Amino acid sequence: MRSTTIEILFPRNLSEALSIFSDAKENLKIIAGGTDVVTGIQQESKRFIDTEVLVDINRIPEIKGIEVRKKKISVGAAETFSDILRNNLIQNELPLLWKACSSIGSVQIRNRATIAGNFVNNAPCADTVPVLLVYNATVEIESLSSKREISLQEFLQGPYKTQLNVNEIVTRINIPIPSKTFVGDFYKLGRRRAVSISRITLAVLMDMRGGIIDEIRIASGAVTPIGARLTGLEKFAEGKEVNDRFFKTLASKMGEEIIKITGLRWSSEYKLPVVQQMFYQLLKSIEQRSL
Amino acid sequence: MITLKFILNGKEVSITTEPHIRLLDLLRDKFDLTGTKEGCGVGECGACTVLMNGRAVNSCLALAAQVEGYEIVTIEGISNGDVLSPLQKNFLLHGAVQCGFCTPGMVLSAAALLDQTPNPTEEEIKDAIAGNLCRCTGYKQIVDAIKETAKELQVK
Amino acid sequence: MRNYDSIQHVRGDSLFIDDITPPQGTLYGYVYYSPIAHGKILQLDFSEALKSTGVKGIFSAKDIPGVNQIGGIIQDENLFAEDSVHFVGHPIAFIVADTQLHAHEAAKKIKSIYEKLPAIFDPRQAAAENKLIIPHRKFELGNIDSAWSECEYIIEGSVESGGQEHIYLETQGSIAFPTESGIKIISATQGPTAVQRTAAKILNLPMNRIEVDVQRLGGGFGGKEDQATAWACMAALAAYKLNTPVKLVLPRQEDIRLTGKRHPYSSDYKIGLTKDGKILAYEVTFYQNAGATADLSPAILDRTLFHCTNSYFIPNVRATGLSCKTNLPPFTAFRGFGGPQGMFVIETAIYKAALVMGMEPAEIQRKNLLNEGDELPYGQKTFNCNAIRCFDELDHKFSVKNIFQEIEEFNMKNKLVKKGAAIMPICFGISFTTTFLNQASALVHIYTDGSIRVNTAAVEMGQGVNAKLKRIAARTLSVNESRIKVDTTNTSRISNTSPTAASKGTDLNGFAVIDACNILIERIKKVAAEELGKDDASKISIIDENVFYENEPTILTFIDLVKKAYLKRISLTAQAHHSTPNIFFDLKSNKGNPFAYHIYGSAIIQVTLDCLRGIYEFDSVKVVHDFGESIDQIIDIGQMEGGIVQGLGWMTIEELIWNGEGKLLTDALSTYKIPDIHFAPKEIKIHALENSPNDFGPLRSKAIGEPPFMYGIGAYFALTNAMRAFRPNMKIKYDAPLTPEKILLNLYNK
Repeated sequence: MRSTTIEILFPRNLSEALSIFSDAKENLKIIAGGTDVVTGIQQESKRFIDTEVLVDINRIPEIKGIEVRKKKISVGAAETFSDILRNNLIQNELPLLWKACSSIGSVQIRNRATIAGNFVNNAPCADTVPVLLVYNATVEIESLSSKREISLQEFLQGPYKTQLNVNEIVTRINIPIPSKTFVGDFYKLGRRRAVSISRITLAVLMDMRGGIIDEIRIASGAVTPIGARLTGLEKFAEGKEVNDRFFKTLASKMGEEIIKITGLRWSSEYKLPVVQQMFYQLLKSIEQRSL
Repeated sequence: MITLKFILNGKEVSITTEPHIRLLDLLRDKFDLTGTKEGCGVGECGACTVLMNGRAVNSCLALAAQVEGYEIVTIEGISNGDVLSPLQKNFLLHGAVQCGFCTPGMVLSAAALLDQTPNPTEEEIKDAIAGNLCRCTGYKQIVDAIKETAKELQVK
Repeated sequence: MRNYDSIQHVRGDSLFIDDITPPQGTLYGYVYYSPIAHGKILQLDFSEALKSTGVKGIFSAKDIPGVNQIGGIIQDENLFAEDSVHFVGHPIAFIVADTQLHAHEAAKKIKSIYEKLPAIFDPRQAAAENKLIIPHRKFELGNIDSAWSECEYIIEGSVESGGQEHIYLETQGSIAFPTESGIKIISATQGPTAVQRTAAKILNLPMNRIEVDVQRLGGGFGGKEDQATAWACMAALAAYKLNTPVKLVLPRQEDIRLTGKRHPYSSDYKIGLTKDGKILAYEVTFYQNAGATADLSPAILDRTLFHCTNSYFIPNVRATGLSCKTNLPPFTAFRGFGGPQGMFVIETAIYKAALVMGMEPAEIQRKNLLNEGDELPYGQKTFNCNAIRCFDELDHKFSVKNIFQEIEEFNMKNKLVKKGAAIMPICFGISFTTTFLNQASALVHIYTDGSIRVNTAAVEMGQGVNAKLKRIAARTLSVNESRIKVDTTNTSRISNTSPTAASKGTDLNGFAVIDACNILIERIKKVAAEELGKDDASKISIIDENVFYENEPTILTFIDLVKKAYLKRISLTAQAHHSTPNIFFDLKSNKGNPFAYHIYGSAIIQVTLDCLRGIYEFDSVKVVHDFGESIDQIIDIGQMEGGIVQGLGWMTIEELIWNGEGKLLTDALSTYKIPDIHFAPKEIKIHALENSPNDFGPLRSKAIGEPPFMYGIGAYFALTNAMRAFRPNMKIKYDAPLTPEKILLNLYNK
C-alpha cells in the first residue's frame, strides 16, 4: 500500500499508448491484468517503489482479439487467459497453449491476467513460455517510431530481462499454425493445483513420419534459468526411430543438457530425475495419442 | 482524485476517489459494502471475489480506476432485497457456511459459474471455486450446494 | 436448520472486526517487530517515525502503565520487548496513525540497532542446553523397565512432525474504545476473559473497568485462544493513552509472521510387542518446539502425553515430554492441542513394528484397542469405550478388507501410479486437562414479548456453537427456536470465561444454558399452577409453547405465562453456572480422572499416488465416528469434513520452512499451501455410531471440534504404503509433512 498517488492513464488506442510511452520516464509502468502489478505495489516491491504513472492497456483494441493473420494465429497481448481458453481457434490449433493457460492460477486470476503479462517480465515461472517456444512464437513490438517482430526466444534475454525498451510495448504474439502432423503435450508440476507458481514446465511438439522423428521441439521452463528450447537435444533426436528405448536415451540426454545449461543449480535434488522421468512420460503419452 | 462512473449491483454510481486504491478498498471503504473480504491481499484466497462484467475476479488485484464503465456485482447484489437467491438458500441448507468469511467470495464464484455454465460437471464446479479457500468446511458441502442449485435451475 | 447467523453470512451482512464502521477519529495501528531471532536492543530511535505523516503515537514497553506481561500459564511473555528480542516477529512497538498506511510508513522510519546473539531453533539442541519452558513431564504406567524382557520384538525409531499455520480466513484484529472509566475492546478472540484480564494488567486497571465483546470469529482453530490477546492489548493501550478509539488488524503476511502455530515435535520411541502383536511396552520422549515463551505449551505438552497411546491399551508406558525453548514465535493451540503429535508417534511405532514383524498395521491396531475399563497411562479407566466397536463397524460398513484387496490388485497392474490405504483409530479425551477451566455460565433473559436472549461464555467461530445453544435453549424451554437470539460473548454479562477451546464450548455452555432455562421453567410453571388454581406445579408441563396440566391441554401458552410472570413480579432472567463434575488431575503424580468422557472413531484413508510426479489425490475418507446424539447433524458433519481436510493438510502439503536465521520463508498463501477444493478427498463417507447417547454431554451429544482432525494422520501411512508399493525397499522416514517434493526424494534418491 502506498500514500503517494499513482496516476492511471487509459489510452483508447495503440497510438495514444505509444505516445505516452515515448515520453516515458522510468517511473511509468504498464498495468494489464494487475495480478503482478497490484501485488507488487501492495508488497512494496522495489520494482514499483518509484512508479508514478500506470498505463492501463486493457482497453486498446489493437492488442486484443485472436485471429488468423498471414497463416499465423495472432493473439493480442492483452488477451486474458480466460479469453484464450474460450477461443475455438486456440483450442483446435494450439492445444498446448490451451493446456498451459488452463493451468494458470484460478478462474479469478485467469479472468484478468494477460498472456503478454505472463512472460513480459521473464520471471522463471512464466507458464506460457515453453509452449510458445515450441510453437515458434514471435512477438510484435511497437514504439511510436518503430515496429518489429522477433522470435520469443530472442525476446527473452535472461532471468527477468527482455529485449523490451522503455518506450516499447508488446502488441501481439504470433504463432504459425502447426501442421496437423504435429502432436505434443505440455506438463506443469506445481505445488498446488490452483494458484501455484510453476516449478517445472515442459512442452514437446513432435512430427513423426513412419515411426521416425521428422521434427521435434522441446522447451522447458522454471528448470533452466530462462525458458529455452533444448536445441542440442532436438538435433540429436531428429531422424531417430520412435521407440521406448530411444525415449529413455533422449530423457537421459535431456538430463545432460540441463546440467550443461544450469550447472546443476537445483532448488532440490529431486528435480533432475523427475524432469527426466516426466519428459520420458510426456514422449510416451504423445506417442500413444498419435497411434 | 478522479471521478469514477460504473454500475454497482445494478445501479449507476459515481464516486470521487484516488485512482490507485484497490477495488476492494473502494467497495469496502467508500461504498460501505463490507461483504467483500480481505483474506490475503495477494489474490490467493478468493475472499475478495467480485463479479466484473459477469466474471469472477479478485478485487484485491484490481485498481479502482480500472472499473470505469464496468458492471461490478458484490455479494450484496446477489440477494433480491430480503429474498435469497437459490444459490444462497442451498448454501444454507447444505451446511456450506461455517465461519462465513469465505462465503461471499465463494457464492460469487459459484454464481458466475452457473451464469456461464448452467449445467456444470463436477470438475467444472471444482475449477470454478479452486481460487476460493475455505479453512472450515472441507469444501464437500459447498460443492453439494452448487450442484443442487444447478439442478434446481435446470428444472426451471 | 436455518441459522440466523448463517443467513447473514450468505448475504455478506455479517460483520467481522474489519467490517465494523469505526467511529470518527479512530486511529490505526501497525506493529513494529524484531527482524532478528535473538539479540540485545542497543538502540531504538522513534524520532523520525514520530514526525511521520499522521502519526499520533508510538508505544513500547516504557509506555505500559501496569505490567509488561501477557503470559498466561507462565508469566514469561512481555507485550513489547524490553532490552532483548527473542524471535523474529517479537513486537517492539506499536505505531498509531490516522491511517493504516501512515502507521506502516512510520514504522519503516524507526531506527534500531541490535547486537545479535546466538539463536536456537532446534528443540533437541534447546533440550541439550537445558533451555526448557518447564521441568520435564512424565506419565508412567506399569513397570516398563521389566516389561522389555517379555517382548519378542522391540522396535525403536524417531519421528518428526511439522508445525501448522492456522490460516483462519479472518486475520487477527481488535478495536479498542476508551469509555468513561476504562476501555471496551472488540476482539477477535476465543478467550474474552483472557483479553480482559491481560488488558487490565497492562493498563493497571481493575478488570471491572475493561469490557471485552466478541461477536464472531472468521475462524479460530486455537490460533485466537491465547494469541488474540497481544493485539487487543496493544489497541487498548493506545486507546487508553490517546483517549481515542484504536483499531489494529494484522495484514495476512504479518499475521503469519508474528503469530504462533501448531508445535513442531521431534520424538524418539521404543515399542515392545509379543510375537502375536500385543504391545507390552511403549517408551517415548517428545521434544516439543515451544518457541520463545510458554504460551500454552505446558498444557499442550500434557495433552501429547495424555494421547501418546491413542486408542490402545498398553500396560507399561513411560512417556516423557520436554517443552523446549527456541527462538521462534511462541507456538500455540491448534485443533488437537498436542494430541495429534502424540498420536502420530504411536501410529508410526505400530507401522514400523508391523513392517519388522511382517504383519499388517491394522492387525496390530486391532489387537491392542482399548476395552471397557482399561487403564490409560494417566490413571483414568475407559468408560463407554467404543474403540473396538468403531474399528469393527468400519469394516462392516465399508468393507475394509475389500479396499485393501482392490488396492493390491490395482498396484499389481499399474507401474507408475500406486494406491495406498491406512486405518486411523482415534481416542480423544474431552475436558480441559487444566481442571479449573471446565466451567461456564449462562444468562438467559425472557423479554415480555416472549423473545429470548441467551448469553454464554461461548465464542462463535464457525463451529456452530450459537446454533447448538439456541437449539438447547429451545428444547429445554420447549419453545420455537425463532424466539431465541444468542448474544455476543461479553465479559460484562458473563464473568471469568474459559476460552472456547478443547471442543468444550457446546458442552460447558450448553449445560449452563440448560440449568438457566430449567430455573426459568420452574418459575413459570409456578405461575401456571397459580393461574390454574392448582397446588402442584410439578404437574405442569410446557410442550411446544403450550401448557399442560397432568398431560391435559390448558388454555395457557408460554407467552401467557411470560406476561403473567412479569405482572406477578417474578424474574424472567436466570443465571446458571456449570462445572464438570468428577474430574481431577494431580500434576505431581500425573494421575487422575481428567476427562469427562472420550471420543472414539475409526477412519480409513485411501490415496492414489502419481509416482512420477510425487503428487497425490485422496480418493476417499470413510469414518465410523461416535457423535453421541447429535444436536445438529449438518453442523457435526461440517466439523467432521472440515477437521479431516485440515488434518490431511497437516500431514501432507502444509509445510512451514524457516531459514537459518529464524525467519519464516513460507509466510504467504503462495508459499504455504492449505487445502483447496482439488486437494479435498473425492469422497468423505461418515457413519455415525448408532445407539451411543452420551450422558456427559448436553442433550446426550458429544463434543466434535477437535477429534475429526486426527483422522487425517492416516494420510501419512496411506501415502507411505503407496510409496512402498512403488519402491519396496525404500528407506522410510517418518517426517511429516509428506510433501510431493519429499515423496519424490523418497522414491528416487539413492
